[in-house]
Amino acid sequence: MFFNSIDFAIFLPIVFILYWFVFIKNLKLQNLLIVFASYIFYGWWDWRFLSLIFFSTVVDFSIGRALANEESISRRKILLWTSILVNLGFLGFFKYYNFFLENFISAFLLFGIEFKVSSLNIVLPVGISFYTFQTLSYTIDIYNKKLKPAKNFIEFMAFVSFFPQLVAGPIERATHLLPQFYTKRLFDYSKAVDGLRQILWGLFKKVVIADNSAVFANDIFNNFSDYSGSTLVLGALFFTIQIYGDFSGYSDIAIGTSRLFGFDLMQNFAFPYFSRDIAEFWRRWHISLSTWFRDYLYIPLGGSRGSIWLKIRNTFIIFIVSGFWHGANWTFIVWGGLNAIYFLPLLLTNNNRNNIEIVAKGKIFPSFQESYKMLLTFSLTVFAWIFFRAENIDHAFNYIRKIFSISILNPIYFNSMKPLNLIVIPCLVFFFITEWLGREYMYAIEGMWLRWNRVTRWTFYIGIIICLFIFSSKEQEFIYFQF
Amino acid sequence: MRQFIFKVLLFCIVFFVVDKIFIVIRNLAPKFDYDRRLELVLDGKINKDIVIFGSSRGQRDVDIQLIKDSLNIEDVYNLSYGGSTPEFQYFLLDMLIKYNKKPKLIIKLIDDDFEVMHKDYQGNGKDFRLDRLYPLVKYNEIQKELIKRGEKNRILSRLFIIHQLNKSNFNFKNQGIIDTINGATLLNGHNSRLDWNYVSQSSYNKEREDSIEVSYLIRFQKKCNNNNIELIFATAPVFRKPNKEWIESMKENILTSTYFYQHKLDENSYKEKENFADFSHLNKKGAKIYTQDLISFIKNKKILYTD
Repeated sequence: MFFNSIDFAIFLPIVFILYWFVFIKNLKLQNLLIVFASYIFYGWWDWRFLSLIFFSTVVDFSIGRALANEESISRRKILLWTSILVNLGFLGFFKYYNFFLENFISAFLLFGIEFKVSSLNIVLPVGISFYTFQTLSYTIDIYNKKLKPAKNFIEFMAFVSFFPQLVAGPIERATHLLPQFYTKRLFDYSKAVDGLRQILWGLFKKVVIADNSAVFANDIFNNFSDYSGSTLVLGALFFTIQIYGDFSGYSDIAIGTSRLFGFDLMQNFAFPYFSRDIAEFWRRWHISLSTWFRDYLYIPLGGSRGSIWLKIRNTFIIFIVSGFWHGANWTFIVWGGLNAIYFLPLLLTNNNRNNIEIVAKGKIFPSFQESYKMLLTFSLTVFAWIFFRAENIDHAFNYIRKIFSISILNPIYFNSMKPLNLIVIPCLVFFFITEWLGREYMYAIEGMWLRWNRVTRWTFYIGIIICLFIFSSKEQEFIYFQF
Repeated sequence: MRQFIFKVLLFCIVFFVVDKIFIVIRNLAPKFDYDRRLELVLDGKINKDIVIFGSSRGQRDVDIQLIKDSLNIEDVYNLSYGGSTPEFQYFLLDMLIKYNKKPKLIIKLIDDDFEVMHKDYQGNGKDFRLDRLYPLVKYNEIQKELIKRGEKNRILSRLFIIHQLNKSNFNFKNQGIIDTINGATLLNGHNSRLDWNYVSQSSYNKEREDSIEVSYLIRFQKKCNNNNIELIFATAPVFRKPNKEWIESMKENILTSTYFYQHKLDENSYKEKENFADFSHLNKKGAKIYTQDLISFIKNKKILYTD
């Protein structure tokens, strides 16, 4: 079920009413309702893969319990590795089997050895990368004695399958989300209103900003050989807007929906395009994944301690694995590697924690130096996204080659540059201004409108809803569903 | 909780009321549209004997006035839509037959070599022209079609006027460009900035055909046949060597009830750049030559009013 679908618009109020009116007095029933609703939510897409989530839940619940009762270090390690292998085994099979097979065949072909193994027609279960990482964090935290295992299977099922963040995050830590299922949730008016507001802003980002930018980005990337270098720069820019609107929009809807049910999820995006360096960008982009890799991969590898070579190795490992997490394609690996190259100079010169606070805090305009740094970081990010969006490495390099050709001086033109499509440009301008003005909050419109009276606020909300209707077309899948 | 539910309901009521303002935009939208031909179809005002179908080549390459004069028929109309797919043209035919007097003859121009090619393989892809439908959402038929195609939701369409609309309803520029009397837009001149080399086309790959579009091409013919409408499928010249593989492939999709007009492949006029506006479309001069050939075909085959 997509958040931007009529199905979800019907599903959500039903679950909300049952949750707060029918099962309000019984925590276990509330959790059971969450499990039931989450399985319907996921099964709406493909019910066959529910068994995969269920199996993963059973395995991690059992291993978690066993770990808590096991003192022997060697047996604890065996249990931990069993969980890791089962979870990553599923992920590896569904996501990476064909990639490794094809590359294995290609590698041997270089030496003149031909293998005749056909690839499998594997359907990637939606959200597998997200819930796999979430359950892994549970087992690893119990192994590290940072967390006590869940005692109740239903509570654990609810934690694994919690529908707002099941298919595209934020990837929650068990230490943060699981205890919320243990305690009675109380309805909080302001939290619920805030949740609705965040859902509204998330839908705007997805339906108006991302889906309409996608029209331009898809046209330019798919027909790049027909267009000038200047047009291709614009194409990369549109994709940059698209991916941010799409993924941060999803996160906003997920966080807002959770708030309606009395849950707090972690912030996943903190205005990353206003970053002054790449290190800041990665502290603000897909925070739940970045911190996951930091805590469960980078730090165990030694982090930024040790020799220079160790730092370089660890940085490349974390960025390349992060790239590979996104998809079984060399383009994602190059994208990860490129970000590692961007990041390394900052790390090696100890400048990676220079910009912790949001830019120009308390001011309307940034300084000249801040603007320059933001523009530079943004440009590097846009360049890296070309690899992320390209179909394959050849596509990416040909695209970049054309950007740096003489045709960059030619005027911008692309087929979808029609007045009808360009109507969205004022919305993009409004979006960036709103994001800038709201950058000190969890999401752009969280605090800006609190000082407004109800008529103004409601007019603004109605305006957003009208945009949602006018700019929507067929339900568009979220980009991160494919990861 | 009560306060929350109350406020949400109150907001919904306010939105429901505000939404009704958009009835004005929905009802006025057709008047601001640059092409009002589909509106005329839905209003039952295209009661013509000969109707031209096709994409931009249908729009540019056929001289309606010449057909009128040569065949001595006053009721000729061009219902070709640039960038339209066979599926869209079938929809048009359906509406035409449903709300108007059935034409006696339909001439449908087919595109060399991408008439039924899958959208993914067309650089400048043809599409189901939804932008032509949205300005007309006040018509039930249009709403039904949008719902059928998954563009709009049935329940939301009933509840909210704004849901029936789309950004196309707010495109007020260029209204009235298309001539509603003949429906045609012939091109003047010749684009001298293009690199005019008469080259051969790459070989035709049948695997790139879209089976859905092929099925609509066949349904188009069956519908004409079932309604006793004479149908000509006509190839149109392009400033390239004709793709014979494509012609052979298209013949496989043509029913026996359909006339197939293949323009003169060796005709020198179609190799002269002065007769073309661009590589894909004839200009006024070229359209006259092509239409004259088409008229000769109609006369030779003794279709309709020919002696």
